[in-house]
Amino acid sequence: MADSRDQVSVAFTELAVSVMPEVRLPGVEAAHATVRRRRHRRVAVLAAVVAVVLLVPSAAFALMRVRGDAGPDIGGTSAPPPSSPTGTASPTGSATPSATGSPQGDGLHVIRDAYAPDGRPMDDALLEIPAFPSPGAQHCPAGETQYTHGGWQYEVAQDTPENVSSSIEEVATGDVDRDGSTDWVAVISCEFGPLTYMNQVVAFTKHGNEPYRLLGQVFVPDTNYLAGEPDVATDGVIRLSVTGPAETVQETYERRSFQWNGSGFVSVGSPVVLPIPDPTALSLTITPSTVSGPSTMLSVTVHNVGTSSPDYLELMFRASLLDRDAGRLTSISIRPEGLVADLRPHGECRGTAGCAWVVELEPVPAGQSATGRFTVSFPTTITGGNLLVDIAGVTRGYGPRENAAGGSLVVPLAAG
Amino acid sequence: MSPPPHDDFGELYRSHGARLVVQLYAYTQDLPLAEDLVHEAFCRALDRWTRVSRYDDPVGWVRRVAWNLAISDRRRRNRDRGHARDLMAGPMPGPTPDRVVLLRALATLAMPLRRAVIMHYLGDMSVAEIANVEGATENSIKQRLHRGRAALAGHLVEPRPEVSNG
Repeated sequence: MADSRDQVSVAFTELAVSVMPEVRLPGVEAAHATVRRRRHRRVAVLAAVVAVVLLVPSAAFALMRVRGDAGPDIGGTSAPPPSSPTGTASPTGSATPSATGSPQGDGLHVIRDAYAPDGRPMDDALLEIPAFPSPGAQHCPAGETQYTHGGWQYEVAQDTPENVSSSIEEVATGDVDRDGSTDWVAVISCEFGPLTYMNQVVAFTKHGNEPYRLLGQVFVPDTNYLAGEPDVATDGVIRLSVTGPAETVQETYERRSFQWNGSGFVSVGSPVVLPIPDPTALSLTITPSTVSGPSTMLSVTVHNVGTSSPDYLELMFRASLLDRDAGRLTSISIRPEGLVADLRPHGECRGTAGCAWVVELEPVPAGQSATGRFTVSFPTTITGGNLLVDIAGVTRGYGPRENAAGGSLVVPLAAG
Repeated sequence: MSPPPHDDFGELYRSHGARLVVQLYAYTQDLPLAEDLVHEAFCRALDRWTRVSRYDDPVGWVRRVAWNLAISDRRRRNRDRGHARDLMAGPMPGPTPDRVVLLRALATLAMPLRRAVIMHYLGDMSVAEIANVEGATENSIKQRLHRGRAALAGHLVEPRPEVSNG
């Protein structure tokens, strides 16, 4: 036993000795500069909030009229968003028409921007959130909560290292209460430090330009389990996946169903435990190997080196920049060839690594490769950093997390 | 009475920053990300420095924030896109074979075990300190350390890749 302890201890010591010389921290001056910027920004945000409080009601009403933001209502003729019909194995993306998708490059076809505004109907909404029942959820949103870009954040106190954040993770639509109008089923998370992370599934209804109204709490997973992949069948039954326990290498995966009984949601049938499918083997090639400012066209080739093909692909970009201004991630723009707008970052892009851009792509058949082009632009104030590019395959009905064996590449950013 | 404030934020940053990065690198297996998270933790401390500098252990505060950020980031990645796999599955810039063996062994551990052994071996944290950060009992941490150490030892006795001198 003493030998194994020594061996482990030596291995860690060797790791520390070999990594320490490679560490490149931005330094004390950079930290001071960041804090100065954030303090200035807080002042500016405060001023902006005052302005918004005064101006927004009429502007929001006008905007909703212009966008037709009431969403699909009675009659349901508008195209609902991101969920795919239960059990369909349709060709990639056919369930989600894209206003902007078009063939591109040498074969990678864009389906849509995963976080495009029109694909996230509840991203900016005032929602009544049922209290999270778990222990430690006292800081989580409860009651009327304004979500912005799908997120909500709250700093508990100046002297704690914790912030609370909540996100609208996924949304599905369908007539869950059988009244002939469309309802919204949202997976809503709450995160408070490392020990409190939970989500719940909530249903809302909405008529015309009226605000979303709480229909009911559909499901709250047990501690350390997470719900996802909401789907509303034509008979109004809501199906969800439940995975967990969190933070383990091996998770379980099951499907559960719920139905509206006139006053609340009840479980239908027994949970169905599903095998976790073999992941699709994907890898990436990217040229050039460095992104230079102000703009670089990246050629991204996806290789499917496995023996099967997922329903569609997700290509994710994450930035880690030397310009550590809060909200800096929005200063990068990424535009796939074939889209008319830059990809929309997820969340409010605050913090160090809280922001991602994701574009959904048509699948690459087993044994084949396909290439697409992406224009990456960033301002000269950014002096360096990295762009993480990550590919994953998604098989509907199983969720990306169980079928996500892909490749990651880190592309250095260099000031131009 | 409050302890006297630690005046020199810079000294704290310079003397503890890199060591914290190594810990988070072992956990995230992504060096740029680990640097980013540690820098962010120090920025948050600086933003509250009047208060944090009076704590008995300002480094402990920074360390906790850095770990929180790392854990949250991992969860966010899992949640957002299902990209749950470790970055080490992809290419890493120039790791030594020894480093690869340890990182791969760490990647096989469940997250709580991984954090416990990293905090213990790289952070020189006591069982009580780890229990405090993890919100777990000391007995639970002892069990995690025991299991994590045994699992790592099992991987480390396997033949290592040959070192190429070419």
